[in-house]
Amino acid sequence: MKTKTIIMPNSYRDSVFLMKLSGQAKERGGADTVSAMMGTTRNKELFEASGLMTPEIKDANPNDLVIAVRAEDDKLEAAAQAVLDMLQEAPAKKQDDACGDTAPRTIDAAMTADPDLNTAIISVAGDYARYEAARAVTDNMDVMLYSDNISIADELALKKMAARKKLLVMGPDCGTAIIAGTPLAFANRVRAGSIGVIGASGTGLQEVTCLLDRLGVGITQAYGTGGRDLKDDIGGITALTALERLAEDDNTTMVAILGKPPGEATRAKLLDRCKSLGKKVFMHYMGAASYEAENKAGIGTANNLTDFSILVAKQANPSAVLDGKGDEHPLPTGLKPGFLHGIFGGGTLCQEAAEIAATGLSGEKFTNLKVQGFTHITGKDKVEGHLFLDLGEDEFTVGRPHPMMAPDLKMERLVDALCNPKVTVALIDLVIGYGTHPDQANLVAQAMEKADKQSGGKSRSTLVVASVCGTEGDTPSRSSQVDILEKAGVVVLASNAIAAAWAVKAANGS
Amino acid sequence: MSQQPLRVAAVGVDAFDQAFIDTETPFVRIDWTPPAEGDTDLVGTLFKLDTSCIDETGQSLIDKANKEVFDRMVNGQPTLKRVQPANQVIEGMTKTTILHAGPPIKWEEMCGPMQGAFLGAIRYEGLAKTDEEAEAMMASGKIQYGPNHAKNAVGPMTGIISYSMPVFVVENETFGNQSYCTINEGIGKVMRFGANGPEVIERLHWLEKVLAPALDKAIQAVGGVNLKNIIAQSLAMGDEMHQRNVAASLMFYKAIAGALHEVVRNNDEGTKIVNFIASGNEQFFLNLAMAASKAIMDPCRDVPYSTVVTCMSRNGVNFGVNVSGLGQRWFEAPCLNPQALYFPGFSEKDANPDMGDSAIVECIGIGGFAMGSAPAVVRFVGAGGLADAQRYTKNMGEITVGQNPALAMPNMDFAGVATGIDIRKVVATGILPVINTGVAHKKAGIGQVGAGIVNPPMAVMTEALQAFAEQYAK
Repeated sequence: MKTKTIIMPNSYRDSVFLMKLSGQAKERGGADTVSAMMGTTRNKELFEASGLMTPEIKDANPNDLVIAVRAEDDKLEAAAQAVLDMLQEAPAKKQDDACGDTAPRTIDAAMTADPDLNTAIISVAGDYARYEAARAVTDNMDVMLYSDNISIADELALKKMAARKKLLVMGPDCGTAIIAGTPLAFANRVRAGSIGVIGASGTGLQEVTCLLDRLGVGITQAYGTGGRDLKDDIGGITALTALERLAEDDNTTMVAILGKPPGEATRAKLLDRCKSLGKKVFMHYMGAASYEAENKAGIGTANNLTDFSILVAKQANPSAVLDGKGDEHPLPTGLKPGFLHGIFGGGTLCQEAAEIAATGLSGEKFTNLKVQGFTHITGKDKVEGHLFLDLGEDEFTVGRPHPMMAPDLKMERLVDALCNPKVTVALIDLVIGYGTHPDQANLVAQAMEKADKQSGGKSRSTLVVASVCGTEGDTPSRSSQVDILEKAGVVVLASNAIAAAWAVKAANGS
Repeated sequence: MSQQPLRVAAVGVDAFDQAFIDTETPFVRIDWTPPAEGDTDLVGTLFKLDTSCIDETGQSLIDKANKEVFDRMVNGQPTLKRVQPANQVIEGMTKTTILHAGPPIKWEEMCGPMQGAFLGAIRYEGLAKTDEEAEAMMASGKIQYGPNHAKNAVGPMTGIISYSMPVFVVENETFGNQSYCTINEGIGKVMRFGANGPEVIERLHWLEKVLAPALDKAIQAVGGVNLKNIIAQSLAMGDEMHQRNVAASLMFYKAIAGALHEVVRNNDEGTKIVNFIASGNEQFFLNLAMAASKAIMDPCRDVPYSTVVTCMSRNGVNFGVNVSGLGQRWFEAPCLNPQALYFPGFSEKDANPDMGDSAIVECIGIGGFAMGSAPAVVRFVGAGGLADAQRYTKNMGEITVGQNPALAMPNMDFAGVATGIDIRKVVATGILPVINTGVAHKKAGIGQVGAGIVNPPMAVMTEALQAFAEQYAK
């Protein structure tokens, strides 16, 4: 095995492009590893960590494209050539001509060209993203900060600055928002209505907005805040600014707030503001022990995202009913009790499913998230027991796209689960909509076929249970994905929480 | 604030763009590259400035200060009032004072042309008879010297101003300040390129004794000459006022022609005087453009929180800049060699590093910044063609505060010149100011050997930015 390094000076490409390229080039060229990244300090650490560091990489500049290819000696040249060929095939960055209109190179230049710009979506590496966000706020824009790797101190500085201007910094690590009808990042086409949503979690916000849509009610806005906003370090600055926006919006008659349990001071601050909001408020803090203070103030709460969505929807329309298979859907006969393996792309969905499973499953339970009653593991650990794995965790996403975009690793883990004779039920989430892989249902069907072959047909005795987070407005539509899954033999339940509860029953045998 | 329909600037991956297309949300994709050429420390500094230099409403104090400076630049009205001996107008000028271009530099460290010009000036003032005597005076500390910029003055190339030399006196009528610049000596063997032979000294005496008094009378007779109007009109005639001053020089002559005629008609040297101004030297106006630019820039100094460059200047060894919010503090780094076209028989081996106060004109947005409006000059200064020149001009828009509507460029669809170099934008974009420049031979006295374009070294910008952050980012 040998490693070859290629440095292409001053050749910027974005990280998602390079991650996809790395994966595809490995397949095509027969390499053991292909790693293509810009020569930033952070990326150099990754090269170091993966044992690919060379003196050439050490000397590379942040604007240099660095490619490391590791392959068997006789395959090395061909593998390296494959990477270069694929870079050639991909459309190169447009060279700007002198007089024609060219894309602006900075937020400032864009703002000069179009002073009405009011929102920036930023998804570059964290070291740079914080600066771009600061520029956008300086230029009076709301910011959707998809990037992560931004310190708490920098998040606080950005949010304090934005708050003085009544602007929103959604993020860092904010995956979802829907504002004025425009989905930002991982988001779905949902109907317009009267409910304003504020979410400190990405897939939680997607699940609630999609369930509301399926319940026949719509939203005004769905603001994301980033996962740390409700911690006392930040004090809910973005959530509170978003609340003010919703307070002033006449179309918003109700407000739904969701996230992990906030810091004590922040929780009190939020509650205090909601008391005087003059609009009906609902709150869901995943894993919260109780809602005593909130309930006393007349705030509606529920135990999971599904019940929460139904509670909110019924306030808008008392006859709202959720479509799809509910908890009462009959279990197939002859299920032997065994392990439940949940394989997720959505972090909040995994958390919710694990929390639902925490009381219903006996035996040891493992997860790479923090869930009470579970043993914490990393994704690499082999486990003998129930498992809830979030493939969207950092350990899986460093140097590769999010599993909702590129579900290959998730599908590998699904095949593993199906081929494991001790696993009775495999539980999965499909989050569809903008930014996600366009045909996840077929990938699941293919994974099931692959498992079938690999196990000599034994995988067929493992039940695959799924929920699909999405709407009829999405492309492909939720119902078309459900059809493909059901044809492949997957039991598709109405929501993540319902699927989790049903999967727990199935794992206990029938 | 209520929620408005979105208009989006997208920075980073394009994986989510379909949502904008489907919902018909206007969006612009930024052609992004890492800011500050990927230097995360500098990006951290820029971030800190953005997030900490704000007022209670979150408005940027830096943007506010820069807007103030920009307004002062746009409102400046430089008017040529007089031509007078340096000692009568420049503060603290003694018989043994010599001012020079660029940031401060010690005699021993000066380049050849600068030393040659010093020796010539000492002889011109009659302080020494030979170069050897003059050198001895320099070595023994009998000459007081320092940068023009510290005395409201500027000079091209070596930029020498000594006691007796006549200088243009330009007043910024909006703010009442004055600036000074010597009279352009013409081409060939001239002191600004370090030449100091007898013919150079002789010409300087003629400028002092014959030309300057006549010029002064003519200028006074017409009640002063508004230089901004000439600059604006000449931009429309293909001058950028650094490498090309063909139209501007004639426009200036036109402004004083009648009065000059009255002054010189009984003068034996009348024809010579008129020829010197009207036809002897197409760069005659350069020194006026410089004085005008200096008069515009000086009121922009010392504005707290402003990151605008108030001067760029070179002494033939180091390039220096001043930044408004940092007062007269120099940020210096070794000059870069210009990318230039050389006269036949010369090459970059002969070139002296970049020199002169003339880059003051780029500070107000002319010179290299306005190259797109000066088609005739683009090949001469080494730009490949008109498209390149227009690109230079467009790029300058990315590192400046705004466009000066009073200085419109017809060739650039009447866009105003890019005005107010913001060191934050220079560092963030990695785009350096473009300066049109002449190239001096590195040996004193040979003169100009080429012309081209040159940039400040990035280090002066990054060092100024770090110093700015130390002072202002709390």
